[in-house]
Amino acid sequence: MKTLERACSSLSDIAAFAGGLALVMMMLQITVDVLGKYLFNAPVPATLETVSSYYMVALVFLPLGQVTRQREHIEVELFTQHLSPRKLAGVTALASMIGLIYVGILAWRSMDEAIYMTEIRESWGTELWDMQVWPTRWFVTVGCVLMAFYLLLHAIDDWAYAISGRRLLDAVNEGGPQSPSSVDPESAR
Amino acid sequence: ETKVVYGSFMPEPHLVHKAGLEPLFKEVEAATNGSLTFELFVGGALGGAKASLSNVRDRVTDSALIMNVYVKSDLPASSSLTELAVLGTDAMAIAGASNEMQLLACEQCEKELARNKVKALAYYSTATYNLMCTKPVSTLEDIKGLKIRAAGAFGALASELGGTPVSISAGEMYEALQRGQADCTLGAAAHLKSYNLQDVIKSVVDLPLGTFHGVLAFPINAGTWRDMTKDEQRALIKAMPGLVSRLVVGYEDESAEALANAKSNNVSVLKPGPDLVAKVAAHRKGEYDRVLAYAKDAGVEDAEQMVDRFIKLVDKWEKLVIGFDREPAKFEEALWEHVYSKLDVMN
Amino acid sequence: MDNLTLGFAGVGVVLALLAMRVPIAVALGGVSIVGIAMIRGIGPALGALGTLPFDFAANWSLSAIPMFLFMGSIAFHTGLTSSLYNAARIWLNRLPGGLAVATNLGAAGFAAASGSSLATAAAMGRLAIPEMLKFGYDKALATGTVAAAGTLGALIPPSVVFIIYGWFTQQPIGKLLIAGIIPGLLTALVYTVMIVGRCIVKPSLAPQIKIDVSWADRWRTLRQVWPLPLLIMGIVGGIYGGLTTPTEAGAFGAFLALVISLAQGRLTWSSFRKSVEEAIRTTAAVFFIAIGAILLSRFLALAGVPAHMAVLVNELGLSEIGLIVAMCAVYLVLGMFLDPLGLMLLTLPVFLPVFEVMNLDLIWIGVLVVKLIEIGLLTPPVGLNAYVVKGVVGDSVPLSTIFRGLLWFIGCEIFIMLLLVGFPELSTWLPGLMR
Ligand code: NA
Ligand code: NA
Repeated sequence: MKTLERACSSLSDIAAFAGGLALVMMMLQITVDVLGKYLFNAPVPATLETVSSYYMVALVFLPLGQVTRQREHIEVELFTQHLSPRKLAGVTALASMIGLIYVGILAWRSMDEAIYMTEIRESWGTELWDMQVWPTRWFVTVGCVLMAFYLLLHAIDDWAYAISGRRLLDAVNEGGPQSPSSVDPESAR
Repeated sequence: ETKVVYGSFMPEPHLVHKAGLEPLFKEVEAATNGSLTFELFVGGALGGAKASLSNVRDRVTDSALIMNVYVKSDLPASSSLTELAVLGTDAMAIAGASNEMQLLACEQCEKELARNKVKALAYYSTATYNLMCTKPVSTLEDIKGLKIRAAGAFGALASELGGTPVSISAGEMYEALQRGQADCTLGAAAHLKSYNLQDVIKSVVDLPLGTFHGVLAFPINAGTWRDMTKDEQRALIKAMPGLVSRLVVGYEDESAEALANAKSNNVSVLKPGPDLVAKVAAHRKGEYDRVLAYAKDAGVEDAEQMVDRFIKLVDKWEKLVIGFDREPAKFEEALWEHVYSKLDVMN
Repeated sequence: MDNLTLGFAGVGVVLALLAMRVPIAVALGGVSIVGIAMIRGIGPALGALGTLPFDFAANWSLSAIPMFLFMGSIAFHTGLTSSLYNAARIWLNRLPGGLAVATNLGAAGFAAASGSSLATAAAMGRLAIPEMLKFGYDKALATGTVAAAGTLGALIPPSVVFIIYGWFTQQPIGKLLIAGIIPGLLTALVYTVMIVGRCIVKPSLAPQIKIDVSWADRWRTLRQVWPLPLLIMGIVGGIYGGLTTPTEAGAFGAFLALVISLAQGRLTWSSFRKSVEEAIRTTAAVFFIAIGAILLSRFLALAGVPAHMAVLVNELGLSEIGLIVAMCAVYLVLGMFLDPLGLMLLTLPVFLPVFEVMNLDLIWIGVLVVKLIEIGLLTPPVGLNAYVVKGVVGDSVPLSTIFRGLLWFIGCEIFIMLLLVGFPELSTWLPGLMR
């Protein structure tokens, strides 16, 4: 179980790294395009299409594995916050199973679409030429598969905890948006 | 009884709905005694321009407004014909030719649509496109170095004229022109009103540069089509010439009206300089080769044959249109005679 | 079960799943897929699932959201924000809720650089919330202020929603954009009064600290505040100087933030890495929900729920003012569940013809509609602005606390709506001055 977790986390790390790269490239390309247009009348060709089809798709879907691993999907805690930890684990195990079905179908359907788009070599017209965009269809599948893996692991882990009171996985605490309340008020003075 | 769900990404008051689809729906509902009904979703509520084809394929909607160049990898032959934008010097003629070509004379077009489980019933063409700028522009010298919002065939034209083609989304076009991220746009004069460009555009060059004739106004999901009775199918086909005619004439009227009102909106309509006219004519000749290469590249078989046939049809329809003096009723008759009377029911 | 009943039942199931702690994205998307399958068949439902996520994310104008999130993260992690808030704390200490007021006004300034409320909330969330919490501000107040003030992004030009409304109704876009200015400033003003009032009544919301700072030190704090105002002015200047479109402004802003922090020698590899990670993880989480929200809008559209409610209102045969009040009610209810664009696109086709018949000023109506859509971003359960703020604050503040903080602002919104309905001049006077 823990070995599987480790394998998943290295894959998610790689995927998230690619997503981060897309974010930085997006910032740089738009900035160069803007300055190029303004100063030299020379835009970076196909910026609008590259940003929409490559960078955006990469940075929206590739981090899904990490987001799920850190349990950062937004939920409504209000109605379950009074439950004991083990009861809560039972509830979230069920929630993860429902999530697994949804994300599993999403992964399967987006893969079908990716295969089809690869076959027809999907391309978009830009201001001057056609740009192949089919590779980015796979980003959706990759993100959803990683997410599905973690939902499965969480479901098993939560069930185990709900039943036996012992977790199979180590709790993940590193990373995540640094919680603002953790900043020491005194150090800011 | 069949309910046809139609998805459009155009805004509600757009001509496609008001002049085209809504009358069509009424006509067909009446003709089938209400056994065929329609529901229209506008503004992309069920999916944007790029999603239209897959929506019809998956029957999320039964029909939708599809621009073939947005899904060119799905529809390589059909969108290659649209690349020949420069052929469109007369919207009525190019619309007639497009329908005859795409519905009857282009087996590949039919096949690639069938692969997406779609049957095409009507294409329309925009009014002819013009160069519209935020300052007075009428010669090649004026155009030099200007940023022109254009894509595809019109992008090639923009750079040929010495401008810099830039991609700007429709949603940002207004502000981009207002603040100088683009100096010009290539589009129908009707856009002056529909996209409110008359606030920011100062000049329109009175020289038709081509049409965008790849708009599939009425595709239908193959399953939905099969589920209809023959009478329902016939009623739909019967109504198509009217749809095409209303759309083409409506678009042209909107453009003519926008040009007529241009002065009161501080937009000047300028005669093109002779150098510009000559350049556009020369470009037109080169486009044939460019599109041929483009079609071959996209994997279209017998591309020469296909393009030649289309050019012949455009020629035929230009003569037809002159013959009946651009009269809408006669245009409908011609569409029926040359295209729709030959369309199979149950297919 | 007819489609309409199915639509309402679907909403019920969504609520039940949310209470059971199913991730919001899954609850919205999952129920919608089942609903679409029941209305249109399994094939269409699965088809929609295959294409919609990609089609939604592969969008140019939405790129402003990750870019502004990135900008906010950089500014936060390199400390560009702390000097400004430190100064604000010292100078505004006598003003009850001073930092929340400063945040609210800062958002109004930032709104001139950002075209959407989500992007505004994303950027301000990272800039302002940690600073307010650091000084002991109430969590509900701090997060609610940012989520609500984010809506100023859509009212004060530039504004994507106004452009879409103008395109949809063929109203002059220039006038629409100008029409949003006074309602935007009015909103900021009402928020300010509410924040100050609440903090006077309940000082614990925003603790005032006894500060012994000499006047020399006070002046010294002002010398360090420049990075953030420079950043915001750079972005606004970029837009109005014709350098960037409102979408490009996001990337340009992130770039500027990097340059400023680099120039100040505050940019480290670890702060850069953290900023990137935060920006993409928040984007992924929020976009995944938005995909669910759009599926829900499509499901409810196919079920005919929005059209049904709008038609019901029209059939009441109300007077002008009655119709507008009823319209507001419909938007408030639907706004709880629909995504902002879906809300506008699905209701306008039914309402517009009636407004035209009644000969109402469509610029005024545009302001009302945009305002109502923005309220929808703040109301539970589907409140995208609240989700963005939740994505930014992580575990430290529960979603319910954010919505609780927003209640006060929604109250303000209702008051502002009354003003806007009662005094159309607030919306029409400024654009009327244009030619
Ligand atoms: Na704004
Ligand atoms: Na809401």
